[in-house]
Formats: sequence, structure tokens, C-alpha cells
Amino acid sequence: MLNEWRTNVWLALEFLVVSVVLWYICDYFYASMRTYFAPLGFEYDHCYELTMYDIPESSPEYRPEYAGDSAQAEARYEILRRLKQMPEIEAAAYSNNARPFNGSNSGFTMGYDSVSGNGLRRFVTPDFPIIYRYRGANGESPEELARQLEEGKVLLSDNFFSSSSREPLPSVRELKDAGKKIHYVDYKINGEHREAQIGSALVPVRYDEFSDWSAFALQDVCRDGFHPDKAMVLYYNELTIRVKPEHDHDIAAKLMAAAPDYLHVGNNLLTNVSSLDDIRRNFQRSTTTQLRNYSAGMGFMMINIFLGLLGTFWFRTQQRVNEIAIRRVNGATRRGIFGRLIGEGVLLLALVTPLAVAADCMLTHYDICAYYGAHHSTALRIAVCAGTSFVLMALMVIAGIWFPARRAMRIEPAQALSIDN
Amino acid sequence: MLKQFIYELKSEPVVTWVTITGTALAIFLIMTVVMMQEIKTAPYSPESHRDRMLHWGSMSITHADWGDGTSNGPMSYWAYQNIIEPLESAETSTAYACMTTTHSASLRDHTPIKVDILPTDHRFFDVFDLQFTAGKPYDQAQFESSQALAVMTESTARQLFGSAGEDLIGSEFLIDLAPYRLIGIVKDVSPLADHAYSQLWVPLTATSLLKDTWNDNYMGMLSSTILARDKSDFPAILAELDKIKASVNTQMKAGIGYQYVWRNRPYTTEKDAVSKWANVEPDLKQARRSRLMVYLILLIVPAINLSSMTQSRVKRRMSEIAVRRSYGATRSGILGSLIMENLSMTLIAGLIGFGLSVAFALLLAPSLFNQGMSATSAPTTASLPMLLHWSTLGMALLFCFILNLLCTGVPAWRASRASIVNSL
Repeated sequence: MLNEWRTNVWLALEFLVVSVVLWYICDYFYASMRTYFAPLGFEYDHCYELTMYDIPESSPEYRPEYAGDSAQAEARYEILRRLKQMPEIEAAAYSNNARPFNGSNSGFTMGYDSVSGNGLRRFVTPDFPIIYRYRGANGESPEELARQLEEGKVLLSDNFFSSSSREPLPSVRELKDAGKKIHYVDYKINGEHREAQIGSALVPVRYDEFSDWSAFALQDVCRDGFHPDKAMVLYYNELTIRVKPEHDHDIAAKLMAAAPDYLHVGNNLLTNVSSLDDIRRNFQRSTTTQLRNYSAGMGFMMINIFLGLLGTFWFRTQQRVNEIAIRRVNGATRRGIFGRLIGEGVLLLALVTPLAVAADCMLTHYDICAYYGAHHSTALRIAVCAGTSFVLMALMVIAGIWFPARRAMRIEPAQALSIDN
Repeated sequence: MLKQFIYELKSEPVVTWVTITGTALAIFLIMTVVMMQEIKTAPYSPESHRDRMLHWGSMSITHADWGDGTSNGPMSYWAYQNIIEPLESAETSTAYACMTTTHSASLRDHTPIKVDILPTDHRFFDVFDLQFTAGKPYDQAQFESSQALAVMTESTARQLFGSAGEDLIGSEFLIDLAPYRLIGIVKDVSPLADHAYSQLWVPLTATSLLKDTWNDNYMGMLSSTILARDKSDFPAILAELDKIKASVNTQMKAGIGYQYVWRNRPYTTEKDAVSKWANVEPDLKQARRSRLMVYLILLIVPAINLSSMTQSRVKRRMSEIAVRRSYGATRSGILGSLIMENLSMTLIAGLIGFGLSVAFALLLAPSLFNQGMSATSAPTTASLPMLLHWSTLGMALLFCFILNLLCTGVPAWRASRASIVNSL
């Protein structure tokens, strides 16, 4: 190896650069897959979003008797009742910036003592937790949570205060057990923050499959004791349903067929039905595309290693024919020759790997990892990713040297030495 | 050069093919990455003037009672009329819905079809060059009188009416059971033209979108694009906007306590392409650094690879080089000729790689060109005019030259400086 030190330096440099790049990509996959497989907190199978539009005044179908807020709100509630009466539908709810895989968000600030916490604000009608199978942190069922929403209670995720704080803070369950009063930070009466009627603490629900963001509050403002107003349903911009599994085969077509008559109440018109699966795919497209692009990058790096070693060792075996012939003459076996060449490549990789791992640790220290908001870097994460990178590189090194090594082990010493003479 | 390439191919086929494959692969991947970026920023119809555009997709607002809190999202028509429309240093500007929405379109007593609709103002068609095959767009008078008119794409017209000819102009159809009259038909637009894309365009005034506002009519459901006369007018436009912004905020604060948070809007097409959330100013420098890092890695790794193979090939030719030196060839002449000889292989391989990347992009456009959180379900399409520009070809040539220099430079330099006696 020392005889070809110049070429080996180039190879070592290539191994170093590719090792670090492969580690970066492996780290991205590790963090995103770890997040992806963490509990989501909700279920979205058999769920659909219905898009309703207002028929404009210019339409001959426009009904002026539904022009006022109360009549419009009543028409919306009637649509909800009719949906729930359909045998295919298990639950239906309106919501505001609440359904999963949503790019629109509203914020909420709650407090206790002098502590405040922030989370997503999800205004929903009572069936919402049933649709997405939300659960209480103490095991409360979605139906129980729906009943609490009907009573006008606010349901906070168990990590509402702890998730946005650097200091360890109690969970909502612990606060309730300790008898703490939780108040709205947004609303004041007589200059004081108004106490909220808090229901069960909820199991945290993640924002999407690639995000850790999970603190939120559920409330039905139409039933809120502060300003109950059924017409507030007009601000709910989403309508979603859960379909019974045995009926989920052509529900979109059935609903669109019912759009002109059964579901046409007031000036509301159903114009589209989308599955949450399609919505999820669209919403997460940039992350899934990133994963695909990184996979392609990884494949490219590995092919480069393969081609580089194939080319370099092809030349090398040509130039070392005499040396190989002499080794054979002196008792080296074909397998020995084969193993020697493969060993040269793997040894070079092994020599470079500590440098690559040091570079990996440095990148981690300076927070130049590819993935944001995921689990923090740990020794295990670095070790797993560096180890995976090493194994992938070793496989390519072996694959790249394989053919030249096989060629070398077939050299007949007498022929090789006589040609040279 | 071609003779040299053929000689190399015959004398060392394996190594030559490995070199060609490595180079073609490197150029293929780099050019795919380049095209993925160019599709967001290079000009093509109907966004042929992307280099002259400043986009104002969202607005941010705060209130005296909110502390550090802000509300972020699309703007209202009031915001457009008071901040953007009065601009004198720009050629024109337009307001349009922040995204397309899917509606039902049908003929009377016919089954409805799903269409993506984008409500716009009348100046939309001055900023974006949709190609009319029949009829014309709605004008200012029609916009201001809230007429229910529509412009649709050829494929939408064929789906709805069965044809897309001039005879359809003036035809009535329904959108969400409301009657509209067709006044123009345009060529289909790819969803990759993400500001102008739609299947149907209607006047904003014919919809209820202008009334869909929040935060006391300061926020709404609209986006805007400013078209400069020339790119060099950007500083003047931004300076004029700064004065307008200051005046508007003073007025608002004195009113009911709101103030807009500008986040350095509007953005150029390149900056707008990396913008994801309304509450965060996009970091263009970071995006450029990431892209540069990707290009460097995609160039350096194959260059190191190819360099060691080039080194081996040059080593075989040391006696030839020594003979040429002994007959009077200079070091720089040897260096230059080695680099140029390798360039022939690099250019041929680069051509193969570039061709593959274009074919790949055309065949796999739907999965290759990411639209992020797209509101449309229409498939992504790409065409040659969208993918091929002088800048794309220039980048391909540039990367070929750089790759050639990186992988041949050092071996050629060392070969040119080798002693004649030792080489022989």
C-alpha cells in the first residue's frame, strides 16, 4: 500500500468525504424515521374532508331566507345532523384550523400562577375527538371527551405547559390533581384573567408524521360559557367525517351524488370530498421528497465509491501483474491474492473512519444536522449513523474491488512472467 | 479530440467506460438538481417575466395589546389597494386569491366536473402572460361591475363543452350552481407556474372573497405580484414601498392599534420560492449555501474518483510525454494538451448525462418537481421550454469544465513536471 501511497491518498480523501456525506444522510433518515414511527396521537384512516361553498346571490339556486347569520348557522347544523344520520357515517364535525395535516394554525395561551404556556388552538364541534380517536391521558374515551366538549369545557394536551418550556413543568394532569386554577391569558374580565373550565388532559397529538409539535387545546366556542353563540359555527372552516370501515369503498361518490338534494341545505353546496390520506400525502410532500432526494444522493455516493475502486484497482492489478505472479510462485493461493486486494481497500477505509467519525461529531456539536425539531443528538444516534455509513462504504469497497481481484487471482505466474520477458 | 477519445476507448475500455459512466452520472445528478431549482425561478409562460417580478404572498400584523404575538396569512384587498396598487415606480401589479380552490363546474342539468379556480383582478393578465387561443380576459370595467365572467384552459373547455374553439366564447356554464359566461380560452398551464396556475380564472369581484377578511379588514385571502419595468427598478420600487409602509403603519396605529409587520416583503422570485410559512422571513442566503454545498459535493466526490483514474491513465503515457518534451514541447503545452484531451471525454460524457437528466425530468416530472403543500390535485407537467434555457445549458457546460479541471488538473500538472530522463 505504501508503494501506491499517492493513489491511496486520493482514495482516502474520497472515503473521508463520502463517509461524512453518508453519515449526514443516515442521520437525516434516523431522525425522520424515529419521528415518523413515534406515536401520532390520532388516527386518520376512513376520514374525509368535505368542502362546502356558499351559493352566491347571483345563482338562481340562492335562497334569500338563509341570508342572516342565525339561518346560515342553522343550515350548517342541519347538514351536520343529516351527515350523522347517514348509515355510512360514524361521526361528523366542524372545526377551525384543527383537522390533521393543516397548514393553517391558530395559537392559544393558557396560564396558571405566573406561568404561561402556548399551544395550537383547535375550535371544534363535539364529534371531533371521535373522528380522530383522540384519547384522554387517563384513558378517557373519545366519546367521553365529546361529552366534555358539549359541556363547554376546554381540553388541553397533557404537555401543554411542559412542551414549550426549557424548565421542567408539571403536566396538566398533575396541575389538576394539585388543584391549580388554569386561566385564559387571552380573555380578561374586570382586568383579571378568566378561569377556564378545564376538562380531561389529552394524550398529545403530533402536528404531522414528521413533526414533534404536539401541544394544543380543544374547545367548542359555540358552547363556551363565556360567550355561547351557535352562530360561531360560521367561523369553523372545516367539515370532516369518519366513515364506518365496512362502508368505506365509494363514499366520495355517494356524498357527491347527495350534494344537490340531501346535503343541499340553505345556501351551502358540497363541491369536493377528499380523503385525509390524500391530504396527508400533499401536506407531507416536501418531507417525503427530501427523503427521496437524500436516498438518490446516497445511491450516487455509493456508486461513485464502486466506480472509483473498480477503475483504480483495475489499473492496479494490471501494473502489479509481476508482483502477483511472484507471490503465486512463492506459495500464495488464489484466495490469498483475492483477499489481499479486498483487504487493502477495507484497511484504507478503516484507517479513514476515525477521522470521519471525528468530523461527524464536530458537525453534530455545531448543530449542522439535516433534521430539525427531532430527538436531540445522542452518542447512540452518532454511533448508529456512523456505523451504517461504514457498513455501506465497506460493501461498496468490496463490490468495487471484486472484479479486479477476481481477475488478479486468475493470473498464471509462468505466463505473466514470460510476457514481461 | 475525437481521435484521442476513440483511441482511449480501444486501448483501455474498462477504465474508459468507468470514467464516462462516472462523469455522466455526476453531470446527470447535478443537472437534475439544477433543473429542480430552475423550474422555480427560470422564466416560462405564463410566468415569462419572473426576473421582473416581486411577490407579496402573505402579510403579518400585530396589535398594541398582543405583546410579541402576530397574526400571519394572506392580505386583504384594503392592504393591496393602500400599499401595492399606488406604486408608481412599477409597471403594474395584481391581486389574486392566495391559492386555487376546487369547485364544481357544469352545464345546466349535466354532471359537474371538478376544476381549480383562481379569482383575480383585471391586471392579472398583464403581469402573467397566459396564452389566449380564443377570446380575451376581463377588463377593468367588467371587473369593477362584478360581472360573472370566466377564462378557462383548453383542457377544461374540452371537459366541459366537448371542444375548445372560438365558437364557445360567450357560452354560459355554472360554477357552484352560479351562472358564468366564458370570455376567453387559454393554453393549459402547468401547476409548476405556482403563481399563475389555475384551470379557470374569474374576477375577484364576482366572488365573496373580497369580503373574506379578518383582523378588522387588514388581513384577507389575497396575494399580490408586482411587475417592474426592468430588474434594475427593484431598488426604486422598494424605496417607494418603504415610504408607503411607514405611512400606512402610522395611520393604522393611530386608528385601532394595529401595525403590519413587514418581514422585508415583497420577495424576488428566488426568495419567494424558498418561502414556506407566513410568519417567517425566508433565509435566502441559507438556501443558496445549501445549494452550493450540494453542487460542491456532487462535483468533488466524482472529481476525486476520476482524478485517481486519470492519474493512472497519464502514468501509462509518461514515456510518450517524455519524448514530446525532449522534442521541444513546453510544460504548459503538455499541461494544456492533457487537459484538452480529457475534456473531449468529459464533454461527451457530460452530453450523455445532460440528455439523461432532461429525459428523466420530462418522464418523471410529477414526482421530481416538488410543489410542497399544494392545494391542487392536478398532475405536475413539465415541457422542454420549461426545462431548457440558455442558463441551463450554460450551467451544464460550466460543470463539465469544472469537473474536467478538478479531475485532470493535478495529474496533468504532475505529468508536465516529470523529469524526461526518469520518464524514459
